[in-house]
Amino acid sequence: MTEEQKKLKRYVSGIERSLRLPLKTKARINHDLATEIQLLREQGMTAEEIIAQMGSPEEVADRFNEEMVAGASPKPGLFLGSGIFGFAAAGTCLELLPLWNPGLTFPPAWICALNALVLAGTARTALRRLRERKGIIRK
Amino acid sequence: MEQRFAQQIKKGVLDMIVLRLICEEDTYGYGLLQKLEQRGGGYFDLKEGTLYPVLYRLEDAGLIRSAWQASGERRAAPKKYYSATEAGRARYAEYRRVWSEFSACVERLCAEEETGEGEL
Repeated sequence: MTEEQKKLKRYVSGIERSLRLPLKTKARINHDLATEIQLLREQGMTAEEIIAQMGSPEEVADRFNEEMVAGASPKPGLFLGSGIFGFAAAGTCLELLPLWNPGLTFPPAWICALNALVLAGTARTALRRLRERKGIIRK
Repeated sequence: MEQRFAQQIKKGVLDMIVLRLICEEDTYGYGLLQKLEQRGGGYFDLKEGTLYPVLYRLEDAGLIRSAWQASGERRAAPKKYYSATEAGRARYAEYRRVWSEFSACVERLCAEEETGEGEL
């Protein structure tokens, strides 16, 4: 790999690092920018000229972030998921009430297990979506 | 102030303009940037970060489709060409109709204001 290619590779990686978008979108952008850079190189432009034309990695990434975050609509499952999480959390609190009030009895074990599963599942999904939004993990 | 006004209008019509150019001829990302610069009268000198999100939006909505095509030149890398779908052509016609009505209305309103015919 030549110095020019290394410089452009670092440039595209710099853009990717500054993108605050899901990994799938980052990969799409990376691919398209790499193709465009290749085309500009075929037209005889140097790495410096390409970078000067496209802008600094932060400038390029900021434009994508601004355009794509502003145009994104919230996922339809978000409200449903929040509701299920809320019910499961409330259920857990009710299940634990006998700890403070000996007059009450604990619900059957299978109800507690089911509730714990739902709670863990929704919490896991919420965390995953949050991390995907920040581009930390793969979908 | 003038630049901000132009930016707002540009944002509103960008999907229509990009769709129009793709309906006209299959093209690739950088080709579109060049066409917009050549034909946009200085209003459509876009950067990659503005154009590609429009292309992604149009493609995800099924209005355009992309396909990799090898260039005729030897050793040249393949390019991702965008073409308009039937839904895309129909949507463009709809956008065009709305834009004609909208711009005619704005023209009428401004003419009324300038000649003092209407009450604004």
